Amino acid sequence: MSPLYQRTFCLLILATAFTLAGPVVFAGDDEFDAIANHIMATYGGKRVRIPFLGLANFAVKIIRPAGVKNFKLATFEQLSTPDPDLDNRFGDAVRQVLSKDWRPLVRVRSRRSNEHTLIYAREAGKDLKLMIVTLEPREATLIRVKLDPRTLAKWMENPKIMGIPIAANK
Amino acid sequence: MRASRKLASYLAALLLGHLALTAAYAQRGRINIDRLNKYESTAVETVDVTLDGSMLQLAASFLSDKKPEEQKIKALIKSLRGLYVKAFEFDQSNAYSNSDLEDLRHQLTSDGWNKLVGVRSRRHGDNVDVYILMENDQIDGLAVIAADPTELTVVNIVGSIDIDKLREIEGQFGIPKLELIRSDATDME
Repeated sequence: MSPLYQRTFCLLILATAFTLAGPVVFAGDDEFDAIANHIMATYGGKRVRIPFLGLANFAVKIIRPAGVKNFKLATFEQLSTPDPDLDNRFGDAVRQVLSKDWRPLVRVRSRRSNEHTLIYAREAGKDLKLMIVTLEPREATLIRVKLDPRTLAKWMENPKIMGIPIAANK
Repeated sequence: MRASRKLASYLAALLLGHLALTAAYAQRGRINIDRLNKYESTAVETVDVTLDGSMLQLAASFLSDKKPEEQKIKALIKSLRGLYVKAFEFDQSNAYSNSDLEDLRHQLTSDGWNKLVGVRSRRHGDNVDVYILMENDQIDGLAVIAADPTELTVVNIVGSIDIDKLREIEGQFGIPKLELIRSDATDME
């Protein structure tokens, strides 16, 4: 195989990977974007660009580590101090954005430390989708993950990353 | 034709009746605690956990069959159909209304609910009320109301649970450590 052919072949694989990883839209993406937009509109700040996130998502789709089939992640920093009324309504705003299929699992709010943690779940056939929002005074993280709970449960029995056990003692 | 239409109507009615009964049964043991949501804006700390049957069974699947502690919790939550927690911490006394407490207690005076006497909390003293819902001589629901001047916690467990085993899931699934003890025993363990 000539070096030029090899290089072209590699570029073709990379291009395919990015094409598949990038524009695929999953159910729940609109809601993810709506929550992200709400955070930006209410708290200002900026969305942190995470390098190779598309590639990581593509790798997750292929390897499916711990039953995770795909994910979407956004982090925000330099958030401003919110209007107390808007901050009080943050949970309600997220609830309004999400369709009724999303069920609230956990809502934790600390006015003392100005933190919100919201976890919503939605069944997708045999899979489970989780929408996790954490909001702190200066930063926020939004994660939407689709996972196979059975595979995850199995993985938790004997957690390994690339064949290397990560549990101390079983 | 008319006979088959009548038969279809009967079948539909039967199906609807069955669905209605199933829905009613599924809600038995669950108390309405949404009235407390208004305190989210005034409490300094709020915890709200909503785990229905399917989510609980999913949570159970994450627990190990090999670790004895997790095995116990797994066995315990397998018989549950729902777990609901609301906990509020306030920075000043009497931040919640007694009428809301009365409303909760009123819900727990009917439909098979009974207040359990002789149970107190090592953490909250006598400010804890424990209620159980009996179904065919078995506990089919449990509610705990812990009301301190600056804290209000309501735990509602739907399904079969032994009060003595409640301690095994304290500190899990958002249930605070209430450390319930029977006053006629030195310890529940």
